[in-house]
Amino acid sequence: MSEVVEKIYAEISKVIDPEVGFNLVEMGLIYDVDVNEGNVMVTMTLSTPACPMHEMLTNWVKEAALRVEGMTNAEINLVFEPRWNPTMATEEVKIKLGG
Amino acid sequence: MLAIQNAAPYKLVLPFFIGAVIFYLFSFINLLLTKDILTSMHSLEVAGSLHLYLLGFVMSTIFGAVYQLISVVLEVPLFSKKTGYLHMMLFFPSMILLSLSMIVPQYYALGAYAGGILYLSFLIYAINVLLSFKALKEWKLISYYIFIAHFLLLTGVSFGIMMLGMIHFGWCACDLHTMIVQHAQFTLMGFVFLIVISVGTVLLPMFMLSHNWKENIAEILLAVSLLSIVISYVSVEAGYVMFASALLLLVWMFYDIYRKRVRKIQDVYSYEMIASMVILTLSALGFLSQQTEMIYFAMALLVFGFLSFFLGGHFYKIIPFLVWNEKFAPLVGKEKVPMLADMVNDRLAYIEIFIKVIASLVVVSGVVLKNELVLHIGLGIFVINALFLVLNVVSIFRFKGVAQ
Repeated sequence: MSEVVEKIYAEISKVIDPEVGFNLVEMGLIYDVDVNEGNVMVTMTLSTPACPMHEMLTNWVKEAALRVEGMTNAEINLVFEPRWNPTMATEEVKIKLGG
Repeated sequence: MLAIQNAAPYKLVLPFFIGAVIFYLFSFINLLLTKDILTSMHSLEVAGSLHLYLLGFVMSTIFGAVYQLISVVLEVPLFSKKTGYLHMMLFFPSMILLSLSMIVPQYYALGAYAGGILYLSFLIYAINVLLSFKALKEWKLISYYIFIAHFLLLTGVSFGIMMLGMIHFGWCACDLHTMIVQHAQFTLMGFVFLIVISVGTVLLPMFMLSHNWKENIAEILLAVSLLSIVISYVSVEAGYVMFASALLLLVWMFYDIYRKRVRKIQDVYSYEMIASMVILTLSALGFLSQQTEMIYFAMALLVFGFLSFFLGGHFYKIIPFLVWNEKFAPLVGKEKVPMLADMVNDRLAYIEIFIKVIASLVVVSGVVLKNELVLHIGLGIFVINALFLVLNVVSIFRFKGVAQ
């Protein structure tokens, strides 16, 4: 993973789903980050396709990517294949969700 | 990409939820003050009190939820937001005046005009929602639910306006009891029930983080719900059995969603949903018994028990979300923002749920035992329950923000 991609992941980690309380990266919702000369393409999913916050979440991710120095354009590729499932989350998230 | 650029504005959605909470309180205060409820079930006064509850609390919640979710679940914008505001401005005053005209004899004459305006507000609302389907690209199960529900609503409120015309202007010599049954069946068992299921298929899995639940239960549920209305024309008893089957299917659907949830932590929402499903099961048993007293028991459970838990539970998710969206959403990624759960006063919420369980049991006991005093004690407890809900909602609005 390049340094700039790491920085983008770090910025997206500041975006927290206010319903579940975890950031999108630890939830495993960010599938891929691709950078090409200042253009970022974030491939991501949502925990459920009908999430009322999906517009906000994608905008926050876009804003987060653009906060990284040198990034001039960010696009979101929202996908539902593969469908998100809890195995994609970090161990910490899984433990906390498990109550 | 799924993003919808036209989510309904906060100013359109939130007033319906605020209205619902306020009328939840006032409808129980009013019911508490209504004398001889059991001996005059079909009186205008009791009908007015029920309308205050069903329109003020139940319908307001549903309108808010539909406006909030339509762009998300159908992936289309609401046909006209301005028409949504017009609906809101017509709905609240006419709903209050119609209920008042039934409750207070001096305002009786107002009923005809208030009912007319209320009917107009329903027409505006339903047509606005139905026109939103013009932009629909893909018909999914939830699209059918919402589409059919709004046709049932139009039919149900049309029976309502016909009754009003009959009572005030002698429009036709139809049987009033039959009209009341049709009105209740299409609006309550039709529209309200279908919307509850459709919203449930979206919100229950979302809040519980549930995956791979059996969505075909919802398909069967739609068919059974509609069949229960059709069959009731042939046989009322068979209609009750079908409706009870629909209730049990909804419980089964919930159980499957609950069983497959990833988020195992119990919270206010999950307790409210569990309570609502226990009540729904008891209500289904009441309908299956086919005895008049038990049917009343089933209906009381459904209207005051199930709806207050199911809709009330969603208040603790949707109202914080709406307030959070206005206050804290712009700060995401820039500074620490609170979680939605931080905005709810859990202590007040758990007390509220506990009181609601007691209130439901006492009210239903009053109905079954035909004891006016027991019923009124239950209604009094519901007032206390409503006060706790109001307090919690006020604290959500006053929430200034605490770190997670």
